[in-house]
Amino acid sequence: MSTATTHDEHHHGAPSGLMRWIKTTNHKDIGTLYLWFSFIMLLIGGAMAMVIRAELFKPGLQIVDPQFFNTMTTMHGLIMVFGAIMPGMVGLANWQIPMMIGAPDMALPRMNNWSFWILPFAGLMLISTLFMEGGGPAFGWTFYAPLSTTFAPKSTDFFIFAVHMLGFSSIMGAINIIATVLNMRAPGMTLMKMPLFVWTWFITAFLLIAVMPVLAGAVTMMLTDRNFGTSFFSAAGGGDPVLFQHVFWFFGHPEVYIMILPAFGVISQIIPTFARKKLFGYSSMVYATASIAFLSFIVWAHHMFTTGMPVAGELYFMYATVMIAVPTAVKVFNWTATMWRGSMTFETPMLWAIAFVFLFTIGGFTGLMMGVAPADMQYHDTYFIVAHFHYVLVTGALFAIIAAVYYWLPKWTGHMVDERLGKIHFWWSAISVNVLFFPQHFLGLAGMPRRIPDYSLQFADWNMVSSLGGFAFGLAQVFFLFIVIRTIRSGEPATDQVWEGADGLEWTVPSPAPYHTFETAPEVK
Amino acid sequence: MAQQGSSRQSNHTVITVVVLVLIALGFFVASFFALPT
Repeated sequence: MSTATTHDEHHHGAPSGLMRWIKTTNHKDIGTLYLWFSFIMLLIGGAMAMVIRAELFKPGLQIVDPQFFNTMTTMHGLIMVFGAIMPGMVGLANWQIPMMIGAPDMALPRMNNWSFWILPFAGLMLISTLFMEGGGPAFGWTFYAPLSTTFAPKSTDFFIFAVHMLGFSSIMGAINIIATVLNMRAPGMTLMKMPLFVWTWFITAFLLIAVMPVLAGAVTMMLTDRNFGTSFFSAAGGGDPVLFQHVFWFFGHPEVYIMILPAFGVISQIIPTFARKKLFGYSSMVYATASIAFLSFIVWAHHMFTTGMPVAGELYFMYATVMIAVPTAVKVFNWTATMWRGSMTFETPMLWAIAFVFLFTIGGFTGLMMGVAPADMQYHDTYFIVAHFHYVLVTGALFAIIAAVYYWLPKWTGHMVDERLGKIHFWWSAISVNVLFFPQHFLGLAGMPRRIPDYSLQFADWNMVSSLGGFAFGLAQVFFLFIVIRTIRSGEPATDQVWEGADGLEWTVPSPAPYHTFETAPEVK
Repeated sequence: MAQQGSSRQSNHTVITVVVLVLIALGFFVASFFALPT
């Protein structure tokens, strides 16, 4: 009898105290943990970006020494990619995928707990390198050999171990998502009925399983080159430093899509809701996502045009790269067509989603420019590429995560977000982010190199403008923290459906979503 | 279609996990054989 009582309690409420979070196997708890971890990392990585922009505010060495500046660019990149964007997307997946396919939880809840709890330790290990003898990694987030092998500080071995742990966490998370999508769907939820966010994550999970082990292979070879006398990347021992770049970018290019495909999924959920229309071209969206994922595997050497390769190689990688514009354009067209003649309203999540469509597309276009091999000889390693990938990853991936938080926060907390504050946050961010990154196109085209703490006088004006935009954008995200905490604590009660045009299983459960949902599978028609 | 909580579903999950782990291990091992010959 007592067992039965305990059983009931277990199923109806959330346990309390610290142990709830450490031992949890609940997908909503783990999603929350991921999202908070992601936000903390965003603030840490953001603080490093502030150091970078402060140093670049004026020409000449201002605040930090060049070695530390390099450490900041390296750690900023690593922390934002592996600590902020990826865990942010996994947090959204954890919260939403089971609710969207009518499953009671993820397929492997205990592994889910492990996937998350590895992360803080990996993150701490990475950050701890800053305090070690010789300083932290300073070779750029791409950690090219021999900078990361022969000439790297001792702390690099801790960096390697941190990357191993991050990779392990990602692979386990990806296995969990695929197992959940394949085996836990409610009756009637066929693959082609799945919400697009689930589809994009399903495809992303396959990318993760294919490329994270290659990253693990790259850092393992680095480890043995550094400590055990092998010469994978050392020409002196018969190896090849260019091999490192190939192995790294075989991981690195799909990695870009790992960060952006779930963002496509988020936008494909939000736009139909606020246009009050079904998503235009659902099946073409699925096929476009799969095509982008496939193409992402066969274009890696476009990052290496200036490294040197046969002309035939340059031509192949150039054509394959610009081909990605086709399925991506299908997506942008479908989002636009969804809005066409819709009954649109512009609540906060929709504003972020529309900004995504505009600004991500700018990042996509500059990507095309650099995909053209002869043009890339000019752009390579300049601020133009810094502008390009920040349009893709900040106004693309980060904006999508913020849009998703505004969209689903009422479902998570039971409170509506204060629209006035959300809109202030949006306009503040949307303007400042363009002040921050748009001038970097001009700087790059004029020849300013990336990863350099000092620059010639002719770059001074736009650097100052960019830095001012950076400080404003950084401050806007602290305001976002305030809005999120305020919404968790108070706000208008949210209805079950939350948004008038919202459609899908997650909007059929109460707001806030109960600790356990869909213990009995819903019937999907 | 998956039936939640059934043993068939559990078997499918195990098979899915084993296949995915093997794919991951395959890519890990393959990365060491990328050396030019």
